Amino acid sequence: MKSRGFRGGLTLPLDESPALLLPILDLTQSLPPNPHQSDRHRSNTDAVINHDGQHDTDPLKSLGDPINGTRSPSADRAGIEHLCGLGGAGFSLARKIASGQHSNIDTLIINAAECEPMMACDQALIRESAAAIVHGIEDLLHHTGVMRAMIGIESHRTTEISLLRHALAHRRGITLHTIEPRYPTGSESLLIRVLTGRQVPVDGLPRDCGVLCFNIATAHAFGVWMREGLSQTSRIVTVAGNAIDTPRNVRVAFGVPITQVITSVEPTIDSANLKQYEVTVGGPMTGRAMHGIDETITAKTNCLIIDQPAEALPARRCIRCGQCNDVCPVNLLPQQLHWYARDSQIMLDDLQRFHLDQCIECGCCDVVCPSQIPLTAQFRVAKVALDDSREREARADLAAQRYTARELRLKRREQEKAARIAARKTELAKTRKPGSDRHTAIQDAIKRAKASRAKGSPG
Amino acid sequence: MIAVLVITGLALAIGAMLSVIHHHTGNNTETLSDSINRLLPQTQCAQCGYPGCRPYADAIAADEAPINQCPPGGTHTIEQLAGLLGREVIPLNSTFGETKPDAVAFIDEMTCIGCTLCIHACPVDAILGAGKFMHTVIASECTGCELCLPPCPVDCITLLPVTRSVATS
Ligand code: SF4
Ligand code: SF4
Ligand code: SF4
Ligand code: SF4
Ligand code: SF4
Repeated sequence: MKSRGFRGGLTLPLDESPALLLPILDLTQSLPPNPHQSDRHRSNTDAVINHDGQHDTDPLKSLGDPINGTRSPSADRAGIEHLCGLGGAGFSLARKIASGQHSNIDTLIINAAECEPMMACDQALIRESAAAIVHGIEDLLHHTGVMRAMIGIESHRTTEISLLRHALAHRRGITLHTIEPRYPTGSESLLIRVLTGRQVPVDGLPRDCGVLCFNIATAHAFGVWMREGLSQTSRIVTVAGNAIDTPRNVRVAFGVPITQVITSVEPTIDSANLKQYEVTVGGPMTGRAMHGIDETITAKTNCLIIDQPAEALPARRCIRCGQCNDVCPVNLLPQQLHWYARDSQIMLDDLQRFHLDQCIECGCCDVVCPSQIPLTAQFRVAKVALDDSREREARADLAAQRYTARELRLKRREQEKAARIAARKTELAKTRKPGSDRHTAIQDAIKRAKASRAKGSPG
Repeated sequence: MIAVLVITGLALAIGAMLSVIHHHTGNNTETLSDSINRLLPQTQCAQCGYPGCRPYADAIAADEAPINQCPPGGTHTIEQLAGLLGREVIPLNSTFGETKPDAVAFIDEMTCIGCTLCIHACPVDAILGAGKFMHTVIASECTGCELCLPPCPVDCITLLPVTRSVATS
């Protein structure tokens, strides 16, 4: 499909997925072939964008300018529709905000607690644009109608804390809170507990305890959209790891291949020798291996870790030392989960019983396990299996319902038809009174037919 | 004497109440056929030789059919049925078909002539359309049973695989 898009314009319509704005002036777009892949399991390629390296000079032209008031409310809404959380989960911002307007939310939590080692993209953003971040938080407060925002940041980030303090001077409703720099306090539910003392209910969301949680970069992107009319088409990515000489934070447009980011940060790595390194997408604790060389930067890609491959010690059997149970920040029993999530036989019911859903994939259990069991990786696989089985169950229920409904409908139709025929028969019988000419004629004909059949049959 | 009568009376009254409550909560009303049906995959493909999962469940419950005739359910379903009915796990009877990966039907809307034949074939009403108009499959409701494929005079229905990728490590 040929189209000439502009930076910040929409890509081809793709389900309900947010964050699919063109990062650059594009010449052509094409979609991957299979339209039936379900959203959750979709491959990494949403659209292929070809470009000539030009950035559009006027990204606002079709949406209007927020500053002189030419942007319509509907354009405002459309823009928010396409913002998405930059925290790592990539939730749709519009849905989150909408959920806040309908329930009794009284606090926004702004997450600046970047607690994973090595990760520093949010800190870079604070150093770059503390004032714009505060504007963004104000806009979020205004937009959600909530009165109070709390920023949580780790206590040892002194530069960033003083920058934020400065930007916050004389502003009401936004407070800055320092938390103990201990992994994984930056995880949503733990941060909420530390800052507000509230507990996100099991099987619930932060909004169920009156809180909405935003990453600090998300707040910034929201403010930039509201005030400058620039949509979110890039993000800051931390590039680090022991194969990187000078670890750096770089701003990268969405859709840029990860390999390209790495080779431009580290000159000794090129696309030929990249295979020798281990690339982790996400932080060192929660990250995962790169899907493939065509994986690109998305709103979720906060960090890239490039390591010389370490000699991995082989996993041994669980010795039931219980250390994993002690470190789990959400009080799960990884040892039990490990048993029920063995490759040979994933026991879904038991995993559910031991609250696998609650695992925040922090990786703490991996670190302490003396048998080097890759517990978190195992839990991730098991979670997908659990999700799949629930989805399958739901689909089967729906199919059973629809099958029964159809059977009932067909049966009803059959009955209605039979009833119609019967009614018509009695009606006709009335007109064919016994004794009338027609009646005798018909009776005679029936008799004749029977007689001739009786004669013909013996043979 | 009075005490004995009172206590007996109480016991009877409570017994009656309990039985009423038991009856009304209805947990006991699930028949064997219901339990069997819940273990079947609900693809409604009729490959088992019955016109849907429910009739097959009825047949198993009445001891008229063995438990290894459902290809979409495959080994997993046979294991579960064996567990429920206290029988031995037996291999799938492949004369009824082979287990295939999940799929959903997709109508090539440019080719469809709007004959409505597929609508009548679909056991779960997952096809939408009207006479002489383009038809389409509601993907979220399609079970991938393939029953709509043979009736289509222009062969414009295909089955697409449902991909589920498990991200490892
Ligand atoms: S990864 Fe391990 S330690 Fe972290 S929440 Fe999950 S089970 Fe607990
Ligand atoms: S830390 Fe490792 S060895 Fe110890 S109980 Fe947990 S899984 Fe088993
Ligand atoms: S073969 Fe299985 S899925 Fe298909 S109708 Fe029979 S029981 Fe249902
Ligand atoms: S659309 Fe076709 S494959 Fe899907 S459920 Fe209906 S008949 Fe079966
Ligand atoms: S059977 Fe084929 S041609 Fe007829 S309505 Fe269905 S898809 Fe269209």
